[in-house]
Amino acid sequence: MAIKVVFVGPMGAGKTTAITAISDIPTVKTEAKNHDKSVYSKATTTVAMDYGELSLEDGNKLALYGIPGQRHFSFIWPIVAKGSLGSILLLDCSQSNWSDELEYYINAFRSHADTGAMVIGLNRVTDSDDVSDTMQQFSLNFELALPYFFMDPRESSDVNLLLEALIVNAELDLLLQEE
Amino acid sequence: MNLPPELIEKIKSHLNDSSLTRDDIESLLLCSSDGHEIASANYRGSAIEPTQLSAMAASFAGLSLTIATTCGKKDALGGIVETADGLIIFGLINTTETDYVLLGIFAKGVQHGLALWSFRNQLAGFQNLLDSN
Repeated sequence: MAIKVVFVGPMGAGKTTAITAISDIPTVKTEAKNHDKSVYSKATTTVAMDYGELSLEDGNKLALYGIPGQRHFSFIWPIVAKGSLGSILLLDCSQSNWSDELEYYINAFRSHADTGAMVIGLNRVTDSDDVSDTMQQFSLNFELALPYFFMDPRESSDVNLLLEALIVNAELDLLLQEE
Repeated sequence: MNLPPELIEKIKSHLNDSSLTRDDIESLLLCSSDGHEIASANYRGSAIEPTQLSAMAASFAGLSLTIATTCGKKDALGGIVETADGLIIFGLINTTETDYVLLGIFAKGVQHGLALWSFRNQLAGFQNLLDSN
């Protein structure tokens, strides 16, 4: 049985791109014309889910799910995320409201964030110092120590790094539970 | 989404056209394919929550298209949810500018064939309306 990982984050953060970058199979997409270009200017948007698969060296398989990022699709997020090992939160830091989105999505996937089963990928970072300061302040305010990485969702090595961090965190959590 | 107000008025008028309100139709809803409500009408005293249902209809439509493609079936036209309390049918309307989803809720006991025929007539009516605007 495949280990389920879910990619979360707002529209345009790069979820579909990230899954496509690492999936062994053609990504299963549910895309429709984007009629809300005031929020994000792109031609299509995910309306139900994305799905990809990645085989690991140990023979295990990762099932990669992506949520639709627009908030009116939030009804489907728990359905897509059910039974997942954890989540990878992607954010487009070129958007002025990215830190608000960070807070929103951490709260939306609080069960993952609270157990350390969440890794954050920060996309389109132009001022790394400013972004790092925001992340540190956020960690202090919310008493959460979530790993974050600057990344490009088109680069498979970047996406794989996020997955590895998520899996290592899950293994550590498992070891701590056993002690 | 930004549709011209006059088009929205025409859509609402079309939804409220008495010739559409067959006895077995409880509600009709039109939304964009990315889940934004455009207009809805409730007949026979029924009620729906249009904002939430619009998002769900768009997800269902998107998933149905993908399921059809994965099964080797091209150009999905719509889908049906069968319940003990009646049928829910949705259909896709593609125009040059915008793609839409029409959702119809049919009463308990409705005949499938009759509901499908009725729904397809409505779908064609909306297609004509949206194509001509």
